[in-house]
Amino acid sequence: MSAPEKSVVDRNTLTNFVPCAARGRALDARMHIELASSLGHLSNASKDSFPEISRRLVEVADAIRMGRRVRPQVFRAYFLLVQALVAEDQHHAETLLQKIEAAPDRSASLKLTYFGASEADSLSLDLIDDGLRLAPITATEAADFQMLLDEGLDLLRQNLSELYGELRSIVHEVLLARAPSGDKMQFDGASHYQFWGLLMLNPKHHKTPLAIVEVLAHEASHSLLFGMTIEEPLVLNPDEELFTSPLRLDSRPMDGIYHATYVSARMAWAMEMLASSGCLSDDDHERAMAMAAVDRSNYAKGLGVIDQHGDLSATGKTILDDARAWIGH
Amino acid sequence: MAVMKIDFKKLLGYRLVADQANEAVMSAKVGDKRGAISKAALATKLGEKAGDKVGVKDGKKPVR
Repeated sequence: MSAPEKSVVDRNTLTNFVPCAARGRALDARMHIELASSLGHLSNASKDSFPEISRRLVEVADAIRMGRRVRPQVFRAYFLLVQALVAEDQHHAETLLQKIEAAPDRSASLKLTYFGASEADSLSLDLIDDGLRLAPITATEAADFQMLLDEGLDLLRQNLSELYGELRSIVHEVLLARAPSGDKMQFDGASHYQFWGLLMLNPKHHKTPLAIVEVLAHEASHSLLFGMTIEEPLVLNPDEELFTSPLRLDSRPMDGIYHATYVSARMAWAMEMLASSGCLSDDDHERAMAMAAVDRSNYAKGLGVIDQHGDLSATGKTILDDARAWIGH
Repeated sequence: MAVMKIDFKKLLGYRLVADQANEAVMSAKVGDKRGAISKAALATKLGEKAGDKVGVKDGKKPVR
C-alpha cells in the first residue's frame, strides 16, 4: 500500500477552467479522504446497532486514510451501504461491506474493460440496475477500440499534457458498451457521481484519435465537476424544473444543463489547443476547429439557459465564471 | 435495536442532498427507507448519469 499522496493546490487552481494535472491529483485524494471520513461516520452511527459492521468500517476507513486507492465499484458500494444502513438491513450492509473489503486496489494503469467480458459483468449489471441502458460488445470491438483509445491518449499526452495528467488522475477505468439495439436514444459517453474514477464509452460513436480526445475531454470534465461538487451542489434549482439542453434531445434539470455547458467549453478548449499545437494534419486541423466551433455554439446555448434560469451556488458560480472568462478571452 | 443517527451532512455525496435525504427518511414507511432515499433524494445530483445521449434517426450517425 502506498503512502497517502500529498496533493495540495490552492483554491483558485481547484476551480480553474484550464486543465491542471495537480488539481486532478488533489481532487482524487480529496474524494478518498471524504470516502474515509464518511465510512468513519457510518461506523460511529452503527456502533450500537451493528457493532461488528462498525468495527470493520473503521478498518476500511483507516486503510483509505493510509493510502489505499479504490476502484469505482467501491465508491458505488459505499453509496449503497448508506442506504442499507438507513434501512437497517444488516444482511445487505454486510454484503456491501464485504464487497468493499474484498475489492482489489485500483491499478496505476488505465483499466479498459467491456460489457460482455465476464470481469465486467458485475459493474455492467450494477449500472443497468441504476437505469443506464447498456448492451454488450464483442471482444474484437473492444480490442479495436483499445488501439484507438491508445492513439487518442498518446495524442493527449504528447500535446495537452496537463489535460492528460488531470484526466489520468481522475479516470482509472473505462467501460465500453453500446446501447440496446433499436433504442432511439443512445449514449456516446457517460459518467456517474457514484462511480468515481469510471468513464463509460460507446465505441460505435468515436472513430478517430481526434474524436477520442474530444470525448475524453468531455467525459473527464463531467468527472472533474463531480470532484469539485463535494461541499455543495453546482445549482440550487429544483430537480423538477426541466430545460432545453445543448447536448441532448431530452429536457434536463439545471444541474444537467450546467454540466453540458461546462463540458462543451472544455471540449472547445481541447480542440483549439490541439489545433494550435501544430501536431495535426491540415485535414485534422480543420476538423478540430470545426468541432470547436460546434462546442462553442453548444456552450453559448447552454449558457443562455443558465443565465436566464440558473440559480447557481457559490461553487457553481465560481467554476462557471472561470469558463466564461476563458471562452471570452 | 438502537436507532442509528446518520447525519447526511457528514457523508460524501449525500451532503449535497442532505435535506431531501432527511425528509425522505422521515416520511418513509418502516422498511422502505432505502427506496425513499434512492428515489427521492438521489434522483438527479447523484443518481442521474451525466453522460450525453444522442438521438438516432434512420440508422444514420447520431447527431448531438
